[in-house]
Amino acid sequence: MNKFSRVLLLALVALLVIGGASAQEGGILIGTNFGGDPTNMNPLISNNTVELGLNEFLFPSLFNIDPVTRAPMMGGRNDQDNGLALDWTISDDGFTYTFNLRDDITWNDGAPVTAHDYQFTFDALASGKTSSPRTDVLQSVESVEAVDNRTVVVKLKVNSCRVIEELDDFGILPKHHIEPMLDGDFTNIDTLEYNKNPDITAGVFNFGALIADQQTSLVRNSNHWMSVSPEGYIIRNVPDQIVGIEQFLAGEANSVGTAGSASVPLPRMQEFRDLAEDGQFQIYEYVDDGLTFVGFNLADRSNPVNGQDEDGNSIDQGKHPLFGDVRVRQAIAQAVNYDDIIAGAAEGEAVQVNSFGTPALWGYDASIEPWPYDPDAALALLAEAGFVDHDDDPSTPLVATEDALYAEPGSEFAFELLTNSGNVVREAAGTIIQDQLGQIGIAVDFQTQEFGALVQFLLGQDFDAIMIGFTNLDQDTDARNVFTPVGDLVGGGFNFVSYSNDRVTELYDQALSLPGCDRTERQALYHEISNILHQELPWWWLFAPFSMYAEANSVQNWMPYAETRYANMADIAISP
Amino acid sequence: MIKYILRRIIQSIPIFFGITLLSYLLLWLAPGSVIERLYFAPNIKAETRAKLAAQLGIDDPFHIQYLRWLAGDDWLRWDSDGDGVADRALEWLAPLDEDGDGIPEPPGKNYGILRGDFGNSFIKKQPVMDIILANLPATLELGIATLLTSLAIGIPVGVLSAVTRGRLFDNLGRVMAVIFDAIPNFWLLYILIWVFGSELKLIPIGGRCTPNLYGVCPSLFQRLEYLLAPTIVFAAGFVALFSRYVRTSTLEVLGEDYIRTALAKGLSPRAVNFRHAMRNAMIPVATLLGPIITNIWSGAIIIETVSALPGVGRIAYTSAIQQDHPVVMGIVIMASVGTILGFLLSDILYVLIDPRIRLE
Repeated sequence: MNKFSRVLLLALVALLVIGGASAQEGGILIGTNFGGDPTNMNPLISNNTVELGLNEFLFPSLFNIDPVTRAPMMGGRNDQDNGLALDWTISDDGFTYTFNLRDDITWNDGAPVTAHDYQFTFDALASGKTSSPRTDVLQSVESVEAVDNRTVVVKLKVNSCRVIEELDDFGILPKHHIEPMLDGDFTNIDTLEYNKNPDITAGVFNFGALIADQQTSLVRNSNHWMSVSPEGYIIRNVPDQIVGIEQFLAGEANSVGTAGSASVPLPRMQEFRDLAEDGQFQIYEYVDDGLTFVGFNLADRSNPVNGQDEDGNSIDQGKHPLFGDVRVRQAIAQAVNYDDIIAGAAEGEAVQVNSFGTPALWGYDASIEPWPYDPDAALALLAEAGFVDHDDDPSTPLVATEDALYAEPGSEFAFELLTNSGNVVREAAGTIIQDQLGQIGIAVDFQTQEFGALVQFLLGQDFDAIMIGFTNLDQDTDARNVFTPVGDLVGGGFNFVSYSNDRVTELYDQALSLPGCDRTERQALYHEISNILHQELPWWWLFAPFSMYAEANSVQNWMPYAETRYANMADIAISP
Repeated sequence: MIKYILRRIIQSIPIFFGITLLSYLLLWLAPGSVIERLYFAPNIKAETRAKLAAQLGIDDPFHIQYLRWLAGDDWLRWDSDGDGVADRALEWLAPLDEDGDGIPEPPGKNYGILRGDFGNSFIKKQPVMDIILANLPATLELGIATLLTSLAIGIPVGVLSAVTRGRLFDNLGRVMAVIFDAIPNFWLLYILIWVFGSELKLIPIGGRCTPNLYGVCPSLFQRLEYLLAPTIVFAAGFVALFSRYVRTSTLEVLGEDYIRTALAKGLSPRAVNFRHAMRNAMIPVATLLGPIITNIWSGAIIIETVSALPGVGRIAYTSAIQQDHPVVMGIVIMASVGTILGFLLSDILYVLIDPRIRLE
């Protein structure tokens, strides 16, 4: 090889390297959003999935979340989780938290992000003048004080192990930018133009533009200390999921869903698995942090009353004629084949759950055996509870005998099961439940209701049984609002089934105020609660669906977790 | 005719108020509220939801909510000394301290639709009129393109079907009219998207503009491809409707004496059919225009939702689902006015096309 050839070869290699490098730079990440526009991007009042997903790229937060353990994490990356805290300490009595913040993060106008920004944001929330729904934290926090630019001291009025997560429940606002716009009145936060056009932010992206009902865009923040490769991130607003998926399959979008949502629908998961196996795109699957269940009304629905009075004394709520007896609930839990429900209603894309929570949550006890399908055992339990087949005809309902605890002797075993219309999974599950319970002599009047109507029945505690689901459950499986008398409020409380068990209440209180808040110790307490709830069945635990992220092959170095779709935006490159 | 138009407008006023009252009542009667839609989660407390409901005013009785929406609430409770706190109120209707906590309720800030204030969206926290106006261009684009396409195809097909009555073109036209009238347009749109978007990649799959970082949307003529599928699908039903109406009315006209006279005078069949017959056959079409404007308005709900077009129909759908009542009512008002004006337009066109008709 002569000198000229060697120079030519080197030039070619250099060109290839430069060309290869340029292929790693730029590119636009395009996602599809099936919800509404992110019209309130103010992290204090943002509420829907897409808004919360965008917030994580735009606003700093108090600390990072470890994507694997989902626990608060000191220091670490400043990526999608814009955590400020390098570390924190908790006083011996557990009532004072001191956060030490990093000092190298700036807003995109150059001003530093400081402890005063956090205090300002908290003060806005504590004023009670905003429409922020994140008021849980106010129950336990006495004060938040920025001692200096880098130190936040939080004083609690009650010891709460949840407070650490609640303190990070909102992004941080730029005080120097927002305060002058408020005229001294936090009420004005709700109507700031900033909420639709957050021009001063501190994330890896800046806000780009929002075209109503079309798209929202973020543009790379080149001044961020950890500049990312994608030139921007566009979220297309596509109300119809079928169309959104076709956009992805045709290459018009890089991902199905957004940073904050998965969105591959259950019926198409297998197709996506097959296509991903063929190398057409990438997928990531996980068990969702939501579950579908049937809530049994344990109290007398004809006279709904709160679980306790203002002084905390129990109020007699009467008993539901059927579900007041735990044996009836246990019988029902054994009378239905869960495989049929998961295969027939959830397209096989779900896992049976055994108690409150899902395998995605650290408080969930995966060691508890779910209720088995055993119709004979169910009939035996029902007989023990005083419900018998009086005419030897399984097609007619069982009838209550004198042995029934709360049902009128001679009354038929029949109840009303409600769910929300339009949810095909729940509608199918309800039909299967109706059919299989009918086979052992339980007459189910299965009805679908418009969601608003269903919520009225539910919160009004005017129902026999309701099938519904909760998604985005908190990582901490504290559910005092759901399974203790505190939440048993007619018209608004989430203990709509009127469940009460002194031991469960005691365990929740212990888990909440455990000195040192050690997660392992708290987990043991939650596991004990799970076991009790599993046995007592205030809710009939059905299933937790699978979730699936789908990402085009053009999104290189993609490393998703259930917690976050883009944990490593800094490493992601978009190829042409 | 001006007297007639004025009389019709005056007659429309009670109809308009009736529509607003009935619509508001229906929305109010619907179970649940935007609060349950947005904040139904175990970690959001009942007090928080109640506070949010109070901020939106949806915990007030029906008559107060309707009055506030119609005529505003600045005259119900107001701040007379300018200190930002309400100090006067029509106590019998809206007491100064309604909840009895010793603190006056905030002064009314709404002017009501009668003074041009359509209120703010519960969800977007933006003025309703801003939201509607931002989405109106997409609906107008789709509506006008649909109307022009369906008229341009439906009328000639109807006339040709009539003049070729019983022959292949007529039979085929009638069969196709039934098919396109019967096919659900969302299904047809899915098929077009799948075949021409996903498989052949000839048209974009939904949307109004090419996604871009800075939110730039070029002029209509630079993005006609986005309008193609929704217009074809939306127009298909109207083409069927127009062609059947025009066919029937053309057949009636072709049997008239003056047509036979024109033919007997030696005019060519083409001239007779398209110059003499067609104009008279248009009279029923004119009467259709009013209802069709309403149909386009309501049909846009499905088309815009499926094709991800950011139009008024789409926000009508999403706002109804989310129980964002101010936006729904704003659209109801626009649709009501559009319908009333559409029918009036039909009557006026009727006169313009047929000189024998006089409006009294």
